[in-house]
Amino acid sequence: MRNNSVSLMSFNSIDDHPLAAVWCPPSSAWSFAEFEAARAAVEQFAAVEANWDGFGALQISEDTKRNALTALSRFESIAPAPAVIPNPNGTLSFEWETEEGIGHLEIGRTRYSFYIRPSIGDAFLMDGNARQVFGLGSIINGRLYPKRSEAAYSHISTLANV
Amino acid sequence: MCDIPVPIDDGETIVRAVFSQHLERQKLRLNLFSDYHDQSSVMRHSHMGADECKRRALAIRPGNPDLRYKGFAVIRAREIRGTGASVTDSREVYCGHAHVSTNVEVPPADDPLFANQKLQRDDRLRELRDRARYLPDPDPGAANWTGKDIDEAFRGS
Repeated sequence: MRNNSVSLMSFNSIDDHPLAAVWCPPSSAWSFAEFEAARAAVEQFAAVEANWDGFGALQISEDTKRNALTALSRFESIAPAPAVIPNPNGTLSFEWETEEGIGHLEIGRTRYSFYIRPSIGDAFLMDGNARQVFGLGSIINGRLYPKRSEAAYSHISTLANV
Repeated sequence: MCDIPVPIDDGETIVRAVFSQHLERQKLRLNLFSDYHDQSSVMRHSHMGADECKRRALAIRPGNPDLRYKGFAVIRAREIRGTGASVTDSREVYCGHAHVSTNVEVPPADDPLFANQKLQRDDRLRELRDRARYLPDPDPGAANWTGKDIDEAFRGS
């Protein structure tokens, strides 16, 4: 199994700065209700039996459901709630789409696959152990929702220099 | 006896039945042509007509009762082939039935493809989705198709 292969493409990140912590968006910035809806969608998709699409789709396993719910809990304080989509091979996909591009995470029983397909530039790829989905929330936030935190950081840096 | 020619002409109109899992706020999703065996089921509308396509769509019974029939996605055979995917007659299912295959790596059971393969597959699915036109069914429960004329969907394109 490949472990956390990461493309060499750089992505936006905010330098470590004592004042940057003040401007980290609070978890309530992304609706608790939206994450509740995403969790409910995971539970609902995992509750139906095989052939849920009428064309022989596999059932979502308990392992996949558990991995997906754990990953959602890790996104909750960092990134917006994703769209939740069941796949015919028994995995679950989370998708985010903005003007900046598309982020897609597919979670299975043992592995995950993740990519950012930006509107401009090269794709960012990552995959690894489905029980250890770490760090993707920051990547999604930084690549697909960059303006709020970057503008805030610029503003606070300007204030700090006064 | 099925008297439709086996080869699918480039100009043929192909219809995919759209269900609720294929839509996000009335827009077609990436998974429109995603199938576990990479043989997504479609209909040769040019030979079947809209009413027969509707009848066949209503005959699909998703195991998840929350997934409802919503309408048609229409695309020309040449548009499918232009992405690198293929569309092939499969009359053993019923006369007028065909399959669309992405011709890229198929995911295994219960786990995703590795990210580079997944991106390639998703790009193909995305391109197919982008070339399809969604025609909502204004009366999903009716026996016949009462929506927009399917061939009109291609006017101006």
